[in-house]
Amino acid sequence: MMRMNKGKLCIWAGLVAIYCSHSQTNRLTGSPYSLFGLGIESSSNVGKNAALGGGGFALNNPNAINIRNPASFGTESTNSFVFDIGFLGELSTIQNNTLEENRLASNFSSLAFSANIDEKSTFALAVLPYSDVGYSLLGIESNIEGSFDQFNSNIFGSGALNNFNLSYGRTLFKGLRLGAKISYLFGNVEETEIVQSGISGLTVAETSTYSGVQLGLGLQADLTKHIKYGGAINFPTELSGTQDRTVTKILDFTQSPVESETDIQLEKFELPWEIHNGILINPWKNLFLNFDHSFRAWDITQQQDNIGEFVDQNIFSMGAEFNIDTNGLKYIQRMQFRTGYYYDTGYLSIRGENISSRGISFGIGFPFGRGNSSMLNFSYTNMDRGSTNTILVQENIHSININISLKDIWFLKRKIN
Amino acid sequence: MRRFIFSSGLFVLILACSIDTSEIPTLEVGQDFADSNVRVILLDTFTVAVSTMRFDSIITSGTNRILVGQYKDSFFGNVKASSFLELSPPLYDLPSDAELDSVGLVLGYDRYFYSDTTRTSHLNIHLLSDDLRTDDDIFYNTSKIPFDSIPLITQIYLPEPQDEDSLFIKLPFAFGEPLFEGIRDNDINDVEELRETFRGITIQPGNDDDSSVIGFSSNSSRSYIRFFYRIPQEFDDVESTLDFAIQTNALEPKIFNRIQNSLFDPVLDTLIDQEINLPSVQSNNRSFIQSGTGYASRIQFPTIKQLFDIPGEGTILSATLRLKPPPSTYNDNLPIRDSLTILLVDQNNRITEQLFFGGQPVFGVVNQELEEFDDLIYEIPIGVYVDRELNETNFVDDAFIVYPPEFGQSVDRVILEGEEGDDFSASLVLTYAIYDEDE
Repeated sequence: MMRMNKGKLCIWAGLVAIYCSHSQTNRLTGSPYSLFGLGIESSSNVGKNAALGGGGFALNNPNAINIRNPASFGTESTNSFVFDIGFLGELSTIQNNTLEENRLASNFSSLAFSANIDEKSTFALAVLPYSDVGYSLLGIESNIEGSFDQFNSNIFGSGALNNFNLSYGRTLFKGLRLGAKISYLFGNVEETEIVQSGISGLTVAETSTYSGVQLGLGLQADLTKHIKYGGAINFPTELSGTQDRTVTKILDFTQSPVESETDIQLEKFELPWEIHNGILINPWKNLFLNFDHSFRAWDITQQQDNIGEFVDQNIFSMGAEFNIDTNGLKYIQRMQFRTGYYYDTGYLSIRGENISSRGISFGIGFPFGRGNSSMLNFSYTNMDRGSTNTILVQENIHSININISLKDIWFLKRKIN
Repeated sequence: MRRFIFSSGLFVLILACSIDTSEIPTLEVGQDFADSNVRVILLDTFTVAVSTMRFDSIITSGTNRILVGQYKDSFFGNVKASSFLELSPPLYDLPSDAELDSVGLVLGYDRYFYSDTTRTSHLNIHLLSDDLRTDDDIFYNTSKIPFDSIPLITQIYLPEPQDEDSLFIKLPFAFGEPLFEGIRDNDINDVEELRETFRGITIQPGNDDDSSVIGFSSNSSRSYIRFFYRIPQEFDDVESTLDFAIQTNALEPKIFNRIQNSLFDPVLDTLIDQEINLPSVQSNNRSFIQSGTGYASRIQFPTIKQLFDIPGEGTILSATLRLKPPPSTYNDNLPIRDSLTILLVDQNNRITEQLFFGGQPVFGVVNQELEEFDDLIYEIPIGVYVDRELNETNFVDDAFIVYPPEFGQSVDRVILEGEEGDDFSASLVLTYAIYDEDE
């Protein structure tokens, strides 16, 4: 059995590798706020968390992957193998106080699997976007110093940071699970600024490559039969970066190279302490409620970018999941209905105004068959970010997460050989 | 069931690879909350070193203008242009019974003039006493061919270069008769034989003239010596003409203009060699340009490398040189050209190359927007040149020179303000972009 297991693992690892090489160039956002830092936090999700308001630190279901808390992999099970593949589509409407614009971004978003080591411990491997960059800022007017004239510039950004995540969770004793994870964050951010001054032009194309390792710990405790607690911390880390820069210009109607430098050392980008807490309540039959809070201590990193400043971030979320009867005979009885809400104070402050966001989500889990824990998870989230006050822009984002969560497909034995 | 699972997994994978909507949105949303990462600065504090130099000689042969006249210039002294021409007929063929009636010189105005045309001028037509030939087949503004000291004829006239089509000068019958008969009697059958009798003419202005310099076309259909002859018939005689004109010959030019100025100015007279530069600070903060006589402005930017003292990494986006002729130095009689030609020279003022702007040669053009109170300012786009000066690793003592177009066939002058003017100084306006503040 173990031999077969290893063979399959190799195949999955290969798939993960293909995905990694692919995902680096993909853009999953159209948000102008992704200009700041390393882009906006990705809304791609593994499993069903997206439908539950994005939280779910206390969730521990051996039939699904909960990437939020490594302790969830400590859930006792036998010969469990879960594979999860996700797709994300976003339609966003961006508006400031005068204009409105629609942007569409979509892609294959995540790949994860978990496998039992023994009855009390499981490890999981996941690749998913960490942050996304995708913006086009057109017609930025700036003063030509020493004159009354203006020059015009357009800034385009794209890229993504990926999270290659290895988690391990173990049951310490009944009702208490511990977990740890190691995340390798890596990716490219490309920014091109095209400056137009009179009849002359300057193009600065920068490709910044960042990478770093982040460690995290998690804990889940079953407080009572109906209440579970989950907590996780991610340790602060630094992402180191190098930049390749190509500058060209148009001078007197003639294009000429200015410089082409590689491996310029960038200032390290600091990721803050993250503290997450959540509870899961099961008040009645198949109804589960989750309440979560996350805190990210951006303040002490004292980072800023362009006119944006990084500030402490609080995320409050809650979610509910219900099905009529897990073992029901009718398909509709086994379907899972989910909803959630969250409020995020935002990590970014632009000219003193926090870029907060809030979202409401609905989801349905379609089981694949009776006696089979595989699920097709579908969720819809409507999210608002920013505001149209002063110079800011507001985004309204409709996003659809589709996950296929496959359970134990490798271990199903044929009844008749 | 497994089949279904696999096919759906495959479906998602295919979907993932095929959908990639990364086209760039174009609406201008969100630009207000970002600043450009690039700083653009306008700088005009770099020293522009303006000096005057003089070419030892300018090629004037093969010109399409016969330039003749003399005027007294307040800066350049006596400016004198005279022309040397070889004229010949296209065919050496006349009826044997043809009889010469008269002969005259027709000079077609090409509308060029400089200085006062309301004053009478003299045109002295002399016969050349030597062939219009040189070893290297090039003539310069300093070249000279010996000619008879006594003119064939002197014409006193009031030039009307703008209103009249041409000027007619009657030549002595005694000049025309031997040429006419030589051709008619087949004694002169080609240019070689013609030169034994007639080598060409020079047109010289009067020695004491102070009037204008006039341009006549050297085209064979505009300027020529015309022989009017008659073939006697029983009733009415047939009248006809034979023209001697300047034949176009790229290898052996048949025309050149000698353009000289005689000067008794202690400052400008120091320019006895092409390698000498006269800084404008030593010549009343002026630089002097004149076509034909070979004066040109020489311009350098000695402090341009101070641009690198600005912190950060940057590059220039444009460079414009502004030059101003003092308004008192031009008027309707001494008109100013609205463009200037630019050439690069080395430290010995030898021309090395031409500057280009978007594939075209660089010209300095009068900026209409900067015209105030009818003051003219030339703007010269020299971004490519300045960029190169900045990037050269070794110090090269080169410069560029500025002069009007038609440098070899006119006497246009341009006086420029130097670098230390009271109300205007020659200036270099740079647009500099800093794309990396840190380094």
